[in-house]
Amino acid sequence: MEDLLGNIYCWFESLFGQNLAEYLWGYNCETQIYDSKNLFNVIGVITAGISLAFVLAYYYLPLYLFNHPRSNRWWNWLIILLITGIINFFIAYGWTVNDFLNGNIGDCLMYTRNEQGNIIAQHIFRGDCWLFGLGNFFVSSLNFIVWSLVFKWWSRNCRYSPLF
Amino acid sequence: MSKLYVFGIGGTGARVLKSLTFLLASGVECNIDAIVPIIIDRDISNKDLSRTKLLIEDYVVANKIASTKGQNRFFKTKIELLNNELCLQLKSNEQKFDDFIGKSTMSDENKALIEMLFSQKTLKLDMTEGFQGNPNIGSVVLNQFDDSDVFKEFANNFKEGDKIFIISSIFGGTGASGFPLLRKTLQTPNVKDSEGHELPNWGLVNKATIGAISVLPYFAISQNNKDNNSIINSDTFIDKTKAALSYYKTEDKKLDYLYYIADTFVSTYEHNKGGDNQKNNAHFIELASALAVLDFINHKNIDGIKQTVYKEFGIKTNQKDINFNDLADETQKIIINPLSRFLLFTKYMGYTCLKRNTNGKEEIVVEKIDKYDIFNNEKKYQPYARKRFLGDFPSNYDSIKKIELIQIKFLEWLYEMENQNRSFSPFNLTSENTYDFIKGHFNILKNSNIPYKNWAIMDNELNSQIRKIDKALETEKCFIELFYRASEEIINFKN
Repeated sequence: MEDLLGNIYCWFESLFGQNLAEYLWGYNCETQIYDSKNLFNVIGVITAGISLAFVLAYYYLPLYLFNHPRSNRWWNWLIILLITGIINFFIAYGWTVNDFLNGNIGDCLMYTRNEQGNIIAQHIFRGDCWLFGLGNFFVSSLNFIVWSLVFKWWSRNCRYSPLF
Repeated sequence: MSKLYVFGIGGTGARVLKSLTFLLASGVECNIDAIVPIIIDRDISNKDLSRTKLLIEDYVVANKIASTKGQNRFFKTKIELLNNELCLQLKSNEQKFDDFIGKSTMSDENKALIEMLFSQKTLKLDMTEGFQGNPNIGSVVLNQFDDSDVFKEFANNFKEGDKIFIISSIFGGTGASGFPLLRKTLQTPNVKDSEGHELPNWGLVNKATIGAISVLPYFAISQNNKDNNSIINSDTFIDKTKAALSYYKTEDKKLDYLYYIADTFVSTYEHNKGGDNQKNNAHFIELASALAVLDFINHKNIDGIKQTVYKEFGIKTNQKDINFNDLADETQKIIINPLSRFLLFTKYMGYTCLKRNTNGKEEIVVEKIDKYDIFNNEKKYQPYARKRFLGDFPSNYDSIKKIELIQIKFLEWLYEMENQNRSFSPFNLTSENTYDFIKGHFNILKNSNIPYKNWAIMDNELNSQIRKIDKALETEKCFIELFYRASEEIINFKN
C-alpha cells in the first residue's frame, strides 16, 4: 500500500528518468538499499491534499469561480484543474530541483564514474526536475478527477460539472 | 369547501377582477377555496372585458399545475367559471332602449309618460355598447339577471358558507344601476326564473354574507370627444355619485361589508362608446379595490354580522407617484412579497418592458428578450433544470405557456398603473438587475451580502430548492413549486 503513490508516479517514469525515480523511492547510495524517505509518498500526499482542497472549494465554497451558478460549466472545472495542476507542478519541481542543487541526490544515482572517479555520464539533469513536475501535474489531474467524482454529488451549483 | 362569488359589474368590475386575478397569480393570501367571477355587462365586446376574460381563462389553465401540496402560492387560489362562462348574458338583445321597453306597442298615454321620463337621445340609445353612463336605463334593462343561465348555475352551485362580493362603479351606467339591483335580487326570497321555477339554494343565497365595493370617480373623460356624439360627460360624475350615494344610504344593514374607494388625482381617458375601443389602462384604484375583495375574504369575523361595516382604503402619503413605501403597513404586508416574487419570476423568464419607436411615437412594449431570458440561457448549465426542464420545455407545456402569457400581461398591467396620473410604480420595470428592480427604502432582498451577482442569486436558490422538492412531482408542478420556493427564499420582506 505504501508503494501505491510511487507506482502511480512510475506511470510517468519515462518522463523524468529511472535515476530520479530511484532517488524519489528513497534509494540510499551509501547503504545501497531503500532506507531514505520515500519522496513519492510525501509529494503524492501533498498533491492529493492540494487537489482535494481545490475540489472541495470548487464544489462547496460559495465564492465566484467556486460553487457558483456561473462557474458550473465544464471549462470552469477544467480551469480549476489546470490551476491545481500548475501549483502541484511547481511543488514537485521545487522539491526535486532543491535536492538536485543542494546535492541531496546520491552520487551513484547522479553519475557514472570511471575507475579514477571521473564522471563519465550524468543521469539526472535539471530538466528531469521539470519533467517530474510535469508528471506531478498529471498525477494532480488524476487526483482532481477522482476527488471530483467522489465529492461533486452534494454540490449545490456544480454537481453536474464537468459531466452530467 | 367555501367559494366566493364575485360579481364584477360594468367596465370597472372587469378591471378590478383583472387586478384581483394578478394578485391571485402572484400568490396573495386568500382564505377561500375558490373564487367564482361573474361579469355583468351589456357590452360583452368591450376590450376591458375581453382582456379580463382572456386573463382569467389563462389563469384557469395555470391553476391546474399550482396545487402541488408544497409551498407554492403562485396561481394557488382556484378560479372557477360557471358553465365555463365569465359573463352573465342577459337574454334580451334589443339594441335600442325604446325597443327594449316596447315603446312602439304602448298606448299614447304611456308613450307620453315615457317621453317625459327619458330624452329622445336616451330612448334611441344603442345599448349594445352599455348604458353610456345612464344608470336610469341600466336599472330597467339589468332587472333580468335571474333569467340568465349563468345566474341559474350560480344558484345551483351555491352552498352553505359561500360568500358573495359585488364590484361596481358608482359614477357610470352599468355599475351604478346594477349593484343595488343585484343586491336586491340576491336578498329577495323565492326568486323564480322565467318558467316559474324557483331557483335552487335560494335560501342559502338570501342569507349569504355579502360584501361590496363601490368605486367612486377616479377618472375623467377627455373633453376632446365631447363633440363625438358622446352622451358621457365626466363633469356629471360627482353629481351622479352624490345621487347614487344618497340612494345607497337605504342599503344600510342590507350588506355585511361595504367598501368605498375614490381618488383625487384623476386620470383622463379618451371616451370610447364601448366595443373593441373601450380599453382603459389599469389603475391603482382597481388594485386597491381588488384588495377589498381579499380583505372581505380574509376577515376573521365575517359570519353573523348584523350591521353593515363600512371601510375605506387609505395610503400613508398622498402624492402623485406612489410606491411600496407610500402604502400603509397593512397593505405592504399583503402585496409586497407576492408582487415582487412574481415579478422576479417574470423577469427571470426574460420578459421586460422596452422603449420602442413605432411610427415616430415612443411606446413601451413587453417582450421576451433573448439576452434577458435567464431561464433559457442557463437551464443547460444549472442542476435544477437537469432531466426536468431541458429540450422543448416550456414550449410543449400548455400550462407553462399560459403562465408566460400571464407574465406578459402582468408587466403590461404594472406599466399601465405606472403611467396614470396617480402613478403606482413600485418597480423599476426596465431594470434587469435583481438588486434594484424594487423601488423603496427597505431592503427587500435577503442575504444581499452574498457573492451572487444579479441573476446568479436566483440560480443559486433554484439549485438549492430543487433538492427539497418531491421528486415524484410532475414536471410542470415541479417548475412552479421550484420558482415559488426560490423567489420566497430571496424576497421575504417582513414589516
